[in-house]
Amino acid sequence: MREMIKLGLILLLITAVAGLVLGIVNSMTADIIEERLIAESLEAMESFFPDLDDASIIDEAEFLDYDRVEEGFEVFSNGDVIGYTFKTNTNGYGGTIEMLTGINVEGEVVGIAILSQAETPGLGDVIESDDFKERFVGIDVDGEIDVDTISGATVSSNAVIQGVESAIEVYLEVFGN
Amino acid sequence: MLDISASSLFVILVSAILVNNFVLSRFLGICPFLGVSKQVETAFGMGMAVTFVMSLASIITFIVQKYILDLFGIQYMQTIMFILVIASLVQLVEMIIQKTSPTLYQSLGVFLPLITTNCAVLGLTILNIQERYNIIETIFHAIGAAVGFSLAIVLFAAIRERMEVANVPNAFKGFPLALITAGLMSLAFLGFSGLV
Amino acid sequence: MNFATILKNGFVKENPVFIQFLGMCPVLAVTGTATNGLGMGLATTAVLLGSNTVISLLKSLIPNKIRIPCFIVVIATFVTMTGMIMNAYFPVLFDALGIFIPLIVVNCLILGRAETFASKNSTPFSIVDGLAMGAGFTVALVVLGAVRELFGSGSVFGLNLLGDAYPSAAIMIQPPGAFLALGILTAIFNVVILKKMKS
Repeated sequence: MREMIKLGLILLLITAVAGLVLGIVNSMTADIIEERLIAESLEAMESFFPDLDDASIIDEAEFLDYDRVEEGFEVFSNGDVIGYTFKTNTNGYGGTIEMLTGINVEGEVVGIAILSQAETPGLGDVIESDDFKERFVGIDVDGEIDVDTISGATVSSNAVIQGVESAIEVYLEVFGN
Repeated sequence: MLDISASSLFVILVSAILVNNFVLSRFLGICPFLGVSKQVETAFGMGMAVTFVMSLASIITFIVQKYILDLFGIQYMQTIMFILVIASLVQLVEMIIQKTSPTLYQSLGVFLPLITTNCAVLGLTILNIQERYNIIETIFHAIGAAVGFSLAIVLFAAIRERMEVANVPNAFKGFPLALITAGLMSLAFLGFSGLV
Repeated sequence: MNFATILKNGFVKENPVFIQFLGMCPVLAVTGTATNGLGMGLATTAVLLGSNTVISLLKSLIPNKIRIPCFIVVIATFVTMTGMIMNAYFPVLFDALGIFIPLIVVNCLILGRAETFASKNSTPFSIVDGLAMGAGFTVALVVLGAVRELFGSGSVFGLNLLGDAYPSAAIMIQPPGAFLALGILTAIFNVVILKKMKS
């Protein structure tokens, strides 16, 4: 029994050292990773938050239960929060659709941006058209999402709608009330 | 927030067994797949042992993730914690089976130590978290993965038993032929894509 | 034992992929392109180098009974570290390799070297062994990746070699192609080895 405890303590010690080392490496790389994640979405965020001059990542722990939402950003202008952006993954016809939904502090969708999609060229990929994306502008987070799907691209349009829905859900969960 | 529908669970199950078969399309668990598949009987034993460990490991790692890693914000310890959970689980299962059922131990015992380094188990537990499955979905995903693994390894063993007596060029004997066979099986499983 | 034999073992005589068939999951999974193969090879080499070094240094401190869990913790630490660094500095590769980065932990090659080499030999030898085995693994992955990419998309390292007229055999970059390509390459490796042994 005493030997078991001794062995357990040695393993615990090694794991603790490992945890310490990883904690240090994590603190060194976390900022770089965060900056990269923001940089990847920054250009797209600027398309619906023209005044944006800074952004930061929202702690993932806030919305862990929401499968479709991958990342959340807080968007700043002159030091004030002007809105939030959520990156979502939904399943389209040809694969995952990765997109951003911007919501301002008044609780209004200000725009969406498709980051990557593999929908059928000429059919499903019309979700990238400005005409379709503008249908989401102005949606109130407390109201219904009433957006017409594009005929011939129902699955793709619904995936985008789902993305916006998920973004709104998380927005209400984290910043509601 | 647990939104589960029977159809989504079914999709997870079918997808893990056929469409994204752990072995033939995700390439998880290749080592035992190629190593322990010379006879149908041993392949079946391996499949059962893996099923057992996968189901338990999925549930325990889910709890570890939720109530230790997420709670303390130390997600970067995931790999270490999960592999330790799997290793101790395998050890524990081995001890329990040895004490309670010598017959079961005889048939499964030899495979158990190999399961720690079976990447299908660690892969499954990480995928569960990555896909953000809830506990019910996690269990279904584990069952699907285990059935998919067992299906692939047993089918493969059955084919290999026949191949033992086939006359093939020297250079292809053994491993290369096994790989080509696996390739053809994988091709067949590719036919399931688009099913769900 | 000398450095030259260790090097030769890693590349040819005990080549982790073509002779020992170790670490097959990443070998098959990430070799859709030569670049991904190279990335996975280098990541694995980094982990192998780290774990071999630390384990050879700690070998007298680690109790024999729990050596495997201890090795695994050391390996997992280096894997996580490698993952963090890749996520920070090589994001494209990090995304392409995905789940196979944490799975380097269960690459039998690394645990195998810890058990059979690093826990029994001095640190300098273990470092050379890590480098040699890592290099042998990397070369195998790059070769397999290059072959699959060449037939599957007509390019190698993203460089279009076969021209636009080449009808890409997409099957080669899909899962079946991995098995088929490795099977044929292993057979060729066998032929070469068999010939050498005869002469």
